[in-house]
Amino acid sequence: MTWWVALSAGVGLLLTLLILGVPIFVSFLILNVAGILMILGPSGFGMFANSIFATGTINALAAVPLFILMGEVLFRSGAMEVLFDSMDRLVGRIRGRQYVLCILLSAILGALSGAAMAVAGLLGRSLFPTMLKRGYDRRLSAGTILAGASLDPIIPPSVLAILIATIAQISTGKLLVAGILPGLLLTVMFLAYVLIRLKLNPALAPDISADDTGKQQGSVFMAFVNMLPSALIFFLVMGLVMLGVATPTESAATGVFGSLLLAAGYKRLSWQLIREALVSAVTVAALLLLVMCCAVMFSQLLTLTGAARKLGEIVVALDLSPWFMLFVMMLVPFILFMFLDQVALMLVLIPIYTPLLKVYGFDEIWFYTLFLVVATVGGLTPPFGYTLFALKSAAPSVPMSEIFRASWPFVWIILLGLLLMAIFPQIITFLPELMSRR
Amino acid sequence: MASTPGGTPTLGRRLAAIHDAITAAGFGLGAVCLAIIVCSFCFEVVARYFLSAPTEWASPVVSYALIAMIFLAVPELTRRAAHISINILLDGLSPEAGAQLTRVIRLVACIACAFAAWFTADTTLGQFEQGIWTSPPFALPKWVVSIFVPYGLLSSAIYFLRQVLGETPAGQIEGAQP
Repeated sequence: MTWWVALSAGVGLLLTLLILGVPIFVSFLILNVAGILMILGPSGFGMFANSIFATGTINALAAVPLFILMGEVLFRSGAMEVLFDSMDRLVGRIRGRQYVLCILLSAILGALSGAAMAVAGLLGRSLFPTMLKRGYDRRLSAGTILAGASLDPIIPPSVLAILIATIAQISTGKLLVAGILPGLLLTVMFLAYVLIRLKLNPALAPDISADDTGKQQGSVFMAFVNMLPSALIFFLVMGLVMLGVATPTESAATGVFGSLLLAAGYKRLSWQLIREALVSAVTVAALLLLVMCCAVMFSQLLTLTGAARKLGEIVVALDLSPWFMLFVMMLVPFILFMFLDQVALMLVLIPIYTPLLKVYGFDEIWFYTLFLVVATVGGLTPPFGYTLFALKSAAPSVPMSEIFRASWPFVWIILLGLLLMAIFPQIITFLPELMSRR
Repeated sequence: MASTPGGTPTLGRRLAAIHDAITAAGFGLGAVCLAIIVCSFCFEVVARYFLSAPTEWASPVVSYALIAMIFLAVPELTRRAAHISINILLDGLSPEAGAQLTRVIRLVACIACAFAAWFTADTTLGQFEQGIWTSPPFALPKWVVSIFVPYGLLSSAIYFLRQVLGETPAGQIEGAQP
């Protein structure tokens, strides 16, 4: 069987199973069993068993449950309420302060956890009703929550970044750190968009007097002081990685320890908190890592059939310009992420993309950070973005059609940000290069 | 699964209860594995950077605990029908057609998991018979670590079968996306 028939049949089978609603890990199990039977015969099953074992014991993947656990402990520790109050005080008396508060809070939450859905749910339940009660525009409010939540998988610690780095076999630490400046750039762009909209149409937010909670009259200094413990956790995690003191996995474990200390400081530490956080982290991490364990064999089959190498040869023969190739390599996941699961698609596309990066000489950290941003947009794009449904479940009164419309302006902003990151790669590569120099 | 008229659980119900108890215990052990990962790496950071005495065991222990955590948790996730899937088609079908398709999917998933459990168990058995060990340092008989894989897959296959036979899953969970 020629490589392109095998590749097309494999991808076709996988897409069919996924669209039918077969659990993703089962879809990959079936795909790989079929692939082994066609390419290697029954003797290849031992190879598949070893692939599952090898993937399940990848040390770097331990960062996935650890970062999720850190977020779970922090969510239960009372740190979020403290951050919320402090930011509320720091934003001050400006028109549309809740929009600004929402975006800044999301960026900070992104630095402490890495799950867009969790943050969309949290802000949808806490901030969104307040915004509506105070007369904020419903669509723009929903949009800022969605946009803010979409920052979380980009700003480290990011579970998606760890998965991408593991599949692509690049430095997890560098890919995590590479997300810092793009996350900040997008935060600034979201803020600029909201403020411009408010300037053009002040009716999108209530008068400052109607928006006064009285909280923002407290000391700015104390607000900063109250934020310090959470900031310390972030620097404990990402600072150790950037300084080269600890691996991402070790720093994630240190972050868990720090978050437990923080919970103790806020007098919330209990066996119940630890148990609930562990159960939640094991649940989410096992779901993601099981898919990884069952899927990695696919990339080995791609190598065995020669599909990855042949695809590279064809791309070389096509002689496409690097910019056009980059456009195509981002457009494909942008469209597919609208309909398919992020992790599943990453597991298919990354093994196909990796040899092409070498052909075009694209920097891997730069390329996969762009890819991470596109994957993040996938959670935000109708009709099947996960973040949209997380907000809908937190705010059931908002029609789905309005949530769809609310997300589009921010999708375009992220795409504009993506273009800037493509044209000015230093936005992505500056911090990872600093790490390399150490 | 029904009880007898006198209220005595049937054999099927008893077996299901035993299966659920094993699954719950396994999931709890998975949570312990995560706690072990946290403690091992925290100890490693302290030992390496403050005591200048890095351990040899932390890294392999984390690897073993990670695979154990994943596959000890999998049956509970299947019991709750929590696995990630794409519901584009299911959402568009009538309730009756959706229920039929879900049943077929669970049957397919049961067969796939049972088959995967068979070949991973076969590999694990081979490791036991040939006396294969993991790489040093902190080497263990490889089957001790890899046995969690067939356990997780076989138990999941049984849950999928129970759901095909009409048992309602314990309920889905939110937040499974990164």
